[in-house]
Amino acid sequence: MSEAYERSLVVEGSSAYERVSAAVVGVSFVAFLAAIGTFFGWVPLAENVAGFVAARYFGAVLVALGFAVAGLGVASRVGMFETAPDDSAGLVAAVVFGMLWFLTLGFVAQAVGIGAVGWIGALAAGVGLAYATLVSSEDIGSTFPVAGFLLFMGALFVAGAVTPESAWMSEAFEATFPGTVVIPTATIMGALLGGWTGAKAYAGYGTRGRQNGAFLLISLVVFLVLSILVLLLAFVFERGVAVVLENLIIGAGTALAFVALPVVLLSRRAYRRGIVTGTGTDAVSSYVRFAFLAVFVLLAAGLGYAFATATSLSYGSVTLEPTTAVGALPALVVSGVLLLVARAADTSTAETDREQLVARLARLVVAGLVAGALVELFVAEIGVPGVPFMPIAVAAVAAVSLVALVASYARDVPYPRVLPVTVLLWASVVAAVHVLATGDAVAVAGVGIVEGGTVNWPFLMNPSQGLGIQIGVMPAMFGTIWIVLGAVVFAVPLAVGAAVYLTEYAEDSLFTRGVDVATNGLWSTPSIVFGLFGLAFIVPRFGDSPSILASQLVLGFMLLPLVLITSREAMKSVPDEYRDASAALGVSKWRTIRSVVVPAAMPGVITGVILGVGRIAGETAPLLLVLNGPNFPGSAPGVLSSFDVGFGLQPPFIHVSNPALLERASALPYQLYAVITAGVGAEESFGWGTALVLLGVVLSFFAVSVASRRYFRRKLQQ
Amino acid sequence: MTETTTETEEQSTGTSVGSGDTDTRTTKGESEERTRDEWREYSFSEDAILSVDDLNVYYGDDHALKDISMDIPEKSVTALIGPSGCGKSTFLRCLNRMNDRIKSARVEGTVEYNGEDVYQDGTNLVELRKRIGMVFQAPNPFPKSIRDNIAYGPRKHGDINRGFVASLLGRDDKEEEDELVEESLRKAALWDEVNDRLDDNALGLSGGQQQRLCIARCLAVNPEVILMDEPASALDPVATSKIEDLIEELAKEYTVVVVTHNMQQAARISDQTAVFLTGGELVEYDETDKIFENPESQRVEDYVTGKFG
Repeated sequence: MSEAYERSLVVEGSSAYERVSAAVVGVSFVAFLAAIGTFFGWVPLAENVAGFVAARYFGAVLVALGFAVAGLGVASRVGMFETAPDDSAGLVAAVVFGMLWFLTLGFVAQAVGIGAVGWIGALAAGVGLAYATLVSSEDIGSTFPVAGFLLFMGALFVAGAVTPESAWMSEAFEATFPGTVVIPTATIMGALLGGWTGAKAYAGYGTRGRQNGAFLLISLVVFLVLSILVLLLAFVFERGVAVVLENLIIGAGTALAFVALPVVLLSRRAYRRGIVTGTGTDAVSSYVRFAFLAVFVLLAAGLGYAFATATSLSYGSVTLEPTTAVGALPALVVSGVLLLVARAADTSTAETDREQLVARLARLVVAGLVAGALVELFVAEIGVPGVPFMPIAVAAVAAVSLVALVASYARDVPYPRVLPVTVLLWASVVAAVHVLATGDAVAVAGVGIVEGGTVNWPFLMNPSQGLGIQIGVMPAMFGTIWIVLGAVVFAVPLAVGAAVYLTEYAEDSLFTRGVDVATNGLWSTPSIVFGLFGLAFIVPRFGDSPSILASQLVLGFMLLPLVLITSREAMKSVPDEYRDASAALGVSKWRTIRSVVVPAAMPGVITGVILGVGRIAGETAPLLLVLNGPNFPGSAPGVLSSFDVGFGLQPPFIHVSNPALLERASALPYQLYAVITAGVGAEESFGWGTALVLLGVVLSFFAVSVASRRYFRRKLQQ
Repeated sequence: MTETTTETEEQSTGTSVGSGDTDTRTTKGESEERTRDEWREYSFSEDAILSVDDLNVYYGDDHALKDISMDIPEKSVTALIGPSGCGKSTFLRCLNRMNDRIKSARVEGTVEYNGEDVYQDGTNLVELRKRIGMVFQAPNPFPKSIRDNIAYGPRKHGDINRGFVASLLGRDDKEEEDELVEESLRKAALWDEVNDRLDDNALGLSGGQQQRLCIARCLAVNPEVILMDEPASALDPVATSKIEDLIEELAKEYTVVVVTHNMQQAARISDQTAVFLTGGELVEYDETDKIFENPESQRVEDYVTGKFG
């Protein structure tokens, strides 16, 4: 009974028709990319390639596509191949083709000087073509108008009627259309239409054909969006990286510490899950991870070799010096991250009494060390003159835990090995804090932790010396970091608290709906309005001068609505079942909110913070008003060091002040604006470097937020 | 309609239960009107742990429960059956005042728990719900580990101290917690299935396991009464039979009140059954065998034999 159906159910292999249509799609895609490339100068347009101007090749491709598309239509119409076209190409195609031809013919008429009469004719032609598309069979209706456009445009370019040099100034539009814009634009249009038609033809028109065509267009859009993102990052990186890395000197010990981090993380993963696991994409990604591991191990080996042989390596203006000591800040960062990892890996529980005793002792020792470090950081160095106490304590603890670690391997006892590693890492954290607090090195024969000098990164570590002799962006970078941190600390608790009240306590009423509307409105308020408000309201109340504190508050106000909106949505989406379950256990509302609702809403809250920080970190307008510092300050705001805590006998007994917070400062976007508008030619590269650092600061905040969101998500899921 | 209302008011002084439509009710036997005392007799009143008197519930203008009076004996299984929308879940939620969480709900009448009215002012809801726990229709474990789920109630009530501060003060009740978790899971017949993964997320368990986890979580706060709102309706037959076995086991130690729309289930597991029919009336309340074999009311017979939905 298969004669009852026009088409067979299963078609084996691909027909010539499908191959031609696929080729049309492929060529269109390449032409699309090439046309975009010409905008960035990656693909030649006006230059001679093999004897002809490159623009002619674009024309040739369009002509070829035009013939192919027309051929596809004819072949289907005369029944050479089995297709299933509808009776009409549809209203969308008709309108698109009508508009296309109306505009094309209209511009041509304008260019040859027919003017208004030409536009009327073009309109009539467009309407006629739309009608023809609508009433003709789909295989003709969706191919011929496209083929006509491709052939016409292609012929113009091939014949040299439109060249990259030609510039047509339209009197009607008061705009110039140079050939360098017209040719790529027409190619992009043609490629989109050709690809669309090819995709439809590939599936034999009809319902499947339209689905194919729509799918192609949607994937192109996605591709375009992604490429815009990548392009932006790559562009800033390319322009700025040389400036940022200029004269960077890095010690091998510090580099090794940073390389150790991915090595430890990746090999731990490989150890736990096997080096190659899973099938298909899982296997591929595990190979990629393994490759990364190998690269980092090789890097570590190279660094080890470098300081074993005391060679200094350099690449461009970046130099790697064979110093073995590790900088205090890198040591702090690396051992902090490793501590988190060790904590996550610590699944062992002390079983016997002896093990419990050891574990308790270790905790006690660590607590003592940390307390000592805090005392040194905020009060004074511990120890008698000439004999510093902390380094000795740290060295003793580190030695004992090293011995314990080695012993546990040597005797092969089932001993929780995470414990000595944890203690060792704590010791290194404390040593780094000691070095930061006192400036003395904790090192033996050059191996250990020193205050600075292992990394010299002029662009990040030095202040700018002024226009013409700029070196670095350190003050502005710290300005941005302090302002963003302050805004987050100020806004997030308020926003989450308000969200808790509005979601959990307030009933749905005119009031809550009003708050919602007001919050959304506040989020869309222009930032300069916030700035002006800050200047008029906050600045006079805090030292009567633009300051970091005022900027923190103003940017906090800007952050508030977004975090409030996202937190509210997140809390609303926490299922009521959790609240019921908690209430049925007799747990009070507040405790339920704290231990069930807020943790479950945490990923949503953090999403809000991510989006908000991205916005406020780049704000320039309000900072012009409320920060308003020197464009190139000579020093970073010393927010940490200028905390002044005084005790007194009179209320309020304790008295905290921080003059640095009340001073003017600079911030990266603000400085970038100043650099670019200064109008001195050489500063542009400095601007790109500033932009790259700004991007880096924002992305670091972003990375921290994403990591913490991931942490909270995993807590909810496993 | 006015007739019915006056009749209801009359009866609310205490002659009959849920007989707001006596006029429409066709009864089989002679005894169509029971006195309050006779109901009490059927209600095993001498060991009643919960005693409901003239309970009326309104959702806005909707009169959801009408003049319900019944006694629930302790350490037994009481099943509440009836068609959808008859008010059996509403009744259940009145017993530990979960209806307070619904803004439009208004409750009149008394619910006495061990002789004390839970609806009087000054009732401590925390204590009430610790004593009268509840298990819901759909399993609703928290997105936390199995251990955290079980220990959630005791931790929040301060019966078990965990965490950094507790360990600093030397009051870390890890052992008590471990014991409690094991005991609760054993009572809920889940220990053997999950004892090796107590720190995994509870959402990774199957539906039946999740529901038993919810029962264990309820047991961990040491209640006297457990209310279950169609606890097996979202589960497959195997999980359902496990829950049923568990309910029978729990009735040795606890008073269980279970809402179900599955009549076979009620017949299998309960000691006494209350039949609610459309309109929020309690039509008949008696020993389960009596309800299913020889009910007083024709409507109940129609319902339990499936002639009326």
